[in-house]
Amino acid sequence: MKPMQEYVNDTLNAGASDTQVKRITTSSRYVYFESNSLKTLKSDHDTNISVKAFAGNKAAAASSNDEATVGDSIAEAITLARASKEDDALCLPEPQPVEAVEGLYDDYQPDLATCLNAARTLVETARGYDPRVMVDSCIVQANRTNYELASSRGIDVSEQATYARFVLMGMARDNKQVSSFDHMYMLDVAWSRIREMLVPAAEKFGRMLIESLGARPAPNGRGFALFSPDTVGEILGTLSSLINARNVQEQASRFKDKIGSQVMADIVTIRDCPRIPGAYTSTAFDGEGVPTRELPVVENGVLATYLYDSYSAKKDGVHSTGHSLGGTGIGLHAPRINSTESLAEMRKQIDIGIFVKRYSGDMDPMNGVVSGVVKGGRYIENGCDSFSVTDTLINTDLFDLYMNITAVSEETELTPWGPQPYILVKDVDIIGK
Amino acid sequence: MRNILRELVSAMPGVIQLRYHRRKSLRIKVENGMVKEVGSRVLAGVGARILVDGVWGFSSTADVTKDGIYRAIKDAHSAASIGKGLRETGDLATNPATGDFAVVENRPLAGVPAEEKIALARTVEEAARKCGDAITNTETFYSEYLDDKIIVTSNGADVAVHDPKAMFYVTVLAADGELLETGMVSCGSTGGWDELFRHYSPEEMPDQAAGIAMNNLKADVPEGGMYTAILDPSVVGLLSHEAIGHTVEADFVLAGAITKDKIGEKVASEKITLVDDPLPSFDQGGAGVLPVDDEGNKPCKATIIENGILKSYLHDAESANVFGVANTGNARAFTYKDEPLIRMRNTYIEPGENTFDEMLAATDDGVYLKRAGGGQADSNAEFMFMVGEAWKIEKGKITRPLRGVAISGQAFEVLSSADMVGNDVLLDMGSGHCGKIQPARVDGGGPHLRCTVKLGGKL
Repeated sequence: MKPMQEYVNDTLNAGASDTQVKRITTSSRYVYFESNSLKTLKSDHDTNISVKAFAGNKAAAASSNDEATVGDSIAEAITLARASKEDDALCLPEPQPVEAVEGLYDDYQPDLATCLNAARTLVETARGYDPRVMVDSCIVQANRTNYELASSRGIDVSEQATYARFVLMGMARDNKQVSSFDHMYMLDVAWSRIREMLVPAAEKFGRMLIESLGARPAPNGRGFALFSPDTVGEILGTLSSLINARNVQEQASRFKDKIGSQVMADIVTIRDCPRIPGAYTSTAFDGEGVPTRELPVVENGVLATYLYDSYSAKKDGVHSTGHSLGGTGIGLHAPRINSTESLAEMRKQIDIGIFVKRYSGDMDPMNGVVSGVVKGGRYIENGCDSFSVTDTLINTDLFDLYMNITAVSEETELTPWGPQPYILVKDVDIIGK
Repeated sequence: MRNILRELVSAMPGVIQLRYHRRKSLRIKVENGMVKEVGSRVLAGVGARILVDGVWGFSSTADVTKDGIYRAIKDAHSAASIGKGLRETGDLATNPATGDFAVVENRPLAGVPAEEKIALARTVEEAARKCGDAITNTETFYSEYLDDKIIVTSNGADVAVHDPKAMFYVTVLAADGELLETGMVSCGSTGGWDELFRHYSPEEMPDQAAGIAMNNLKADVPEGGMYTAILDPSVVGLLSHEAIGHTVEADFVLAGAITKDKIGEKVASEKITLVDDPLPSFDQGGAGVLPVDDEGNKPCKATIIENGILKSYLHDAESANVFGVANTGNARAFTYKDEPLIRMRNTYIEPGENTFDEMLAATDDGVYLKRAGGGQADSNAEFMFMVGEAWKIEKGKITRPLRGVAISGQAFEVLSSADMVGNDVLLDMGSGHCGKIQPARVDGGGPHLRCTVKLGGKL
């Protein structure tokens, strides 16, 4: 493969005033079970090269999955940049020292047969838990990725990472009664940790599905909502949008001018932690090659920062916080919420409430509407699980939800945002019957 | 390329499918007067799918030389061999297509210069900014896929397909103090520039989006509960796709979805006939138009529900054989790197006899729900959708806007409650993607429909 700096030079020689080139090379092993049985085994290797070209204060990008056609991408990016509009905030970051994060690469890479055995273990364990468990799909995947980024400003960084994951999706079926869909997944840098989780995760998956049979609507009322780690991830997604500096600058966030203001309950402290060794949410640099760092986001409920890429930072006259996701995207890497107590203690606080295992609905950071269906949930009375719920919605305002967080659990579970806790929120409307 | 694929397929024993797929995509985003994103991408390669001892192996390559594709075939063969004995795929129910296929394409997208697409996005965004003092943020987004495929299979498929798809969004934010409300109007298509704007004029979209946002500013969140609702074609499309369509995908049926063993049963009002159609005769610009499926088979219109009776699932070659029925041609792959899965195309309810005015006049107390938002369905046909625009109906008249409306219910119960079906029909769900392991461009729609649904909201 061609050195990255040569692509940078090719782009400058073709007429660009500045450029950034990224190359992502991935090899993947993938096993797919469908409808309770093996469907496909897949082995792949691919490369994507993306060229961002500047024509003065204009910019555009073009990419290709074929190294032989990068010249076409360079020409296309320059042509599109010239057809675009001048924007004084467009820029590339200057190089800064980048320190690697340890433990993002596992030397052991499972072969396809190993992935297949893992998938069989998952499906057979889940089905063996109870014959009423139906596996709609099961994926086991192991990826190895090499990420390289170079720019005409002198940035030249790379990172090798591995990840392995499994996903189980399915439902329980008891004669004509069909439960709600549910899923179980695990993602890790190291295959050995994935392997250890296969049996317990599949058993938990089976148990969750069987427990969700016989569900009925919850009674209408106002009470607590106990959000699962998965749904906490969705709540963090709304926060990520609200503190995205581009959204703030474009009048598309209600957190404009809220730095230093109370935006969440005072028990809530959130830090972005993208440099934890061995964590799959970690990365040494962001989508523009800017080094990542731990960043306080919310401290005792008070908003501490916005998230910047180089474009939004230039507009506000500050430095990038290293939160570019590539392109125009900005977001949290790995938010961590400080805990307040155990899950058991939290449950004791619930006189009437609902456990929100999954949430299917809107959480709108613009108008604040939180309205959607509780999936895989349980109705809770006097601290105890009462029954599984179906056909039940919850409704509240997102900004009230932030302020009404009464507890954060010590226990965490893996989510795409890394390990997240359960959170307890008061004064949520429950609409069932 | 076609000759290379033919040569390789003819040289291999057993079942093999080779699919060359080149996609050139373009994205343009304009926000508050600035061009925030212009980007193009070429993604090209061959997916090799091979059946060995009842197990599918798949591998893909961007090296589209004969040697490169041969290596992918060998990799796919090796992969499949690892699963020997773990699956028994029977015969495939094929209906192989041959020849060259193109969609209706008035003013081909490839012939419209990027400058003109950028100019449209800028002009429409600028118009949106002028829609009122309350407007604080405006955005337009254009996206296109120019897909060319060659599929050659051992079952006799030998096709070239040209399949361009595009979408265009206008999004407006309006503010009143701290409250922000969104209005969005979007369109999507298969075909050319004229197909993209066949239902929506780009000149009118800013006013429509701004109107929704500003109406929402003065709207109330509804009280949660059961409502008589008139659904517009986009919401009917989302109901057809999410709540019914996914539950009749044969892979999902085999896994144990609620529709299993229900063929021939009454599942909806007798006024309901629901289909999944690769090429609707009334609108050949639907975003889910599919000339040939990605196993190389001719797709056909599937009547899922006919006069309230469940008639058919959606099939690929393998599931059609399992059920002993004709292949509906629903196998679709998003890129060359993806294997075909059972996916929908254009899913809609056939028109009935009522006018919209008749439905309105017959509704004493209800809601009018327009512009489908995000949605999800479940294995038990329970669904939830957001709607972009909602209105209260009182004594046969549309009276006041509602905001933040989520609807839910059990799809078959909702369709059983349908008592008035409009005589209009429109595909209006063509922007965005359906997600099921891979994305897919789909469309949906139908007539206006009156039924009973649950609305989320305050107590």
